[in-house]
Amino acid sequence: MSTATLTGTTLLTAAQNKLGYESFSIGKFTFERDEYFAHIIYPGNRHIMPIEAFLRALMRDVAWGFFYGTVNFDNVFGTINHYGTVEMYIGLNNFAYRNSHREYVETFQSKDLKKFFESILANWTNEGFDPFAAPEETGEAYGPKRGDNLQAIQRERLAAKRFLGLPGDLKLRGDAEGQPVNRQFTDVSQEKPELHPEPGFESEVHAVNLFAYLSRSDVTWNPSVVSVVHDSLLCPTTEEHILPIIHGNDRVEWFVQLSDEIIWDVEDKMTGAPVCKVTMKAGDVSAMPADIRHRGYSPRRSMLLVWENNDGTLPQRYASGEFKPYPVEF
Amino acid sequence: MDGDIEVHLIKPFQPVVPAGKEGAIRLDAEPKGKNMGWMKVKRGHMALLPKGAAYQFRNHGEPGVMLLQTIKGDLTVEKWAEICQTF
Repeated sequence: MSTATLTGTTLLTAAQNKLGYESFSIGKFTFERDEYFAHIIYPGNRHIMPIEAFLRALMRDVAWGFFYGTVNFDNVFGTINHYGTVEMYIGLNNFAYRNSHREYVETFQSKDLKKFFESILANWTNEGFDPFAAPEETGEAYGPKRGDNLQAIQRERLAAKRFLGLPGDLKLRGDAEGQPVNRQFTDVSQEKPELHPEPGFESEVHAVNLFAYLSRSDVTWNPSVVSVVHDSLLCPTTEEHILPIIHGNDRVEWFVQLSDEIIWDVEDKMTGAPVCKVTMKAGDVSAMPADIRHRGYSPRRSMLLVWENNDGTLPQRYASGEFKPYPVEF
Repeated sequence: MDGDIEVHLIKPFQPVVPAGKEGAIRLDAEPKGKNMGWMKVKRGHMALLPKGAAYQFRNHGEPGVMLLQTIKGDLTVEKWAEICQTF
């Protein structure tokens, strides 16, 4: 067994198991994988997840920098972002675990846990499996270790500083960049907006075809910023199959369904008790309250606009009761 | 989001919005300034409304629908409580 030290944390990297996979430890958590499952070992017990589901969830947690609030990998294991530190837990948001005092939580520096998760992803993701891709567009995660897929798991985070397509900002997608239209978006118009700038205003009279941009996304369930107004972030994303995590909100989050349909399961954030089911068709708008968790199901590839409020004071203001968890009273 | 919409832009010679004022401001008349140009956007398109510019939307055909990303201000109308579907 070799030892590597992270800032404030000890990372233990075990020797390869007989299938070729490494085991990883941080704090009192140990992660092991076999052909079909991820094993999460913590003081007193072990949690187990299907490896494909685990890797898809882990990919989002890493790519989003632990996102806003809670990333439940399933109903037992997950992370809570405190924006600088991260809690990694077993059973913290599960009524049965909490009721029997079986929850287990450790806090890590965000940068340490991100690096740790990246190491797991790199070692456990086999050649041909892309945890960001829709199931129909990628290979299998199962079996003994065979190669890797670093290109897939190290995609650059896409976030506009101001507005998609402006000089020096997030670039548009196209055939020339090796980004073809997705198989399920062949009906999306690629027509560009008409621009008629006067001389000297070429960089300010600016418009893009957002749907064409989204139609060329090769990933699913990955909100990416395309325009910024102070803390208001428009984060459209293309969805297919199941949201690989159950997202627990620490602020109100707005959804605008741009195409097709997504069915959402909405649950109480802390207990997982069902709250409601929301079916969103193209043009529908919903507000996900700050005290729920949600998971989406997209039967075919769809476009979803996620509108986030990036104000860093919000989690505390919602948690303290200063703000109600929903945007309006009926 | 739907329909055809023209966005016409003017760069005012003098600022028409007080510093620090947030949200959209309705102007009584077209401001004196430099014509910046215009854009025609359709379903799925996204257009930039530059800071400090005056803008006007024009629609010549069937009604269009827009989603405007802005900050709450004097012209904000909050309809969510009225239009949101409830049980």
